Amino acid sequence: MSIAEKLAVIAENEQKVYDAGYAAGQAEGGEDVFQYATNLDYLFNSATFPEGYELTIIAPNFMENANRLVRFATGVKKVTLKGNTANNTASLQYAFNSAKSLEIVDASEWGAGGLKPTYFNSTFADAQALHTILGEIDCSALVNVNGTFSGAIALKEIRIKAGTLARSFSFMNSSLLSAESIQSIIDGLADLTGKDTQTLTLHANIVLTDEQKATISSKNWTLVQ
Amino acid sequence: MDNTILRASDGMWLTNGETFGKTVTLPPAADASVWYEITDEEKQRREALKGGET
Repeated sequence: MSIAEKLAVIAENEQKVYDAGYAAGQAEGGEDVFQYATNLDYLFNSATFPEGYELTIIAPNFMENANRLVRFATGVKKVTLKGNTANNTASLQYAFNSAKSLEIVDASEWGAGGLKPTYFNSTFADAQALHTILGEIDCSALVNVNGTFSGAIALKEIRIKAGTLARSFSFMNSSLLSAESIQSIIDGLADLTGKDTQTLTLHANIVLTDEQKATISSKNWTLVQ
Repeated sequence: MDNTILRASDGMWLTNGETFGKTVTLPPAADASVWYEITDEEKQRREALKGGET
């Protein structure tokens, strides 16, 4: 067995252990109450978690709102969202805003495989340790994008569903975006030929290739850095 | 492609009232007249106003 295969087996076994522990915890502590939740507004707003806490919310019946989910929460390192079986859009106003210790948001098993926000204002604003958002963000339902990533200075990994972003958007404070993230953002831009020009704002230190700049322009987007 | 590139003067920022930058690369169909310069102090003032909830 190669090292890669061994690592895959280890990861698989770790997942089995986690799942067994989760199930045991449910059995001991009662049902997972989140399975009944239709909205998650203010759920852990200003909550104090133990340092390094990894929060998992499994909400198969989610309907609409997760505003201020962990806003101002302390200690939480990772938030995993699972469920939203109907792949409903989610209002995420201030959802992760100022969660200073938050590093990862995993929505890869949420909805159709990622967040699908409507109100996306200040969602990740001042989440200064946040470096990774897992799952593909579907931007086709956006209503408000004011300050979505304002102050998200550590953001490195993000994926945007191709062609879904059709309104001006800013990553002005995110200087650490990976090459894959930058390409995903560009691929995420909708083609606005014949429509009103929108702006994509990137941090001044982000270096784009000539091809990337040409792609942005060919889709009728203004690039601001 | 025939792009127009606007560059802010030293110590200034370009804005269209919504976003800010030092360099603005406009596609052919874009309206350059919506962009204007502001001082850094004015930029910070405007960003503070956008802060929203506390």
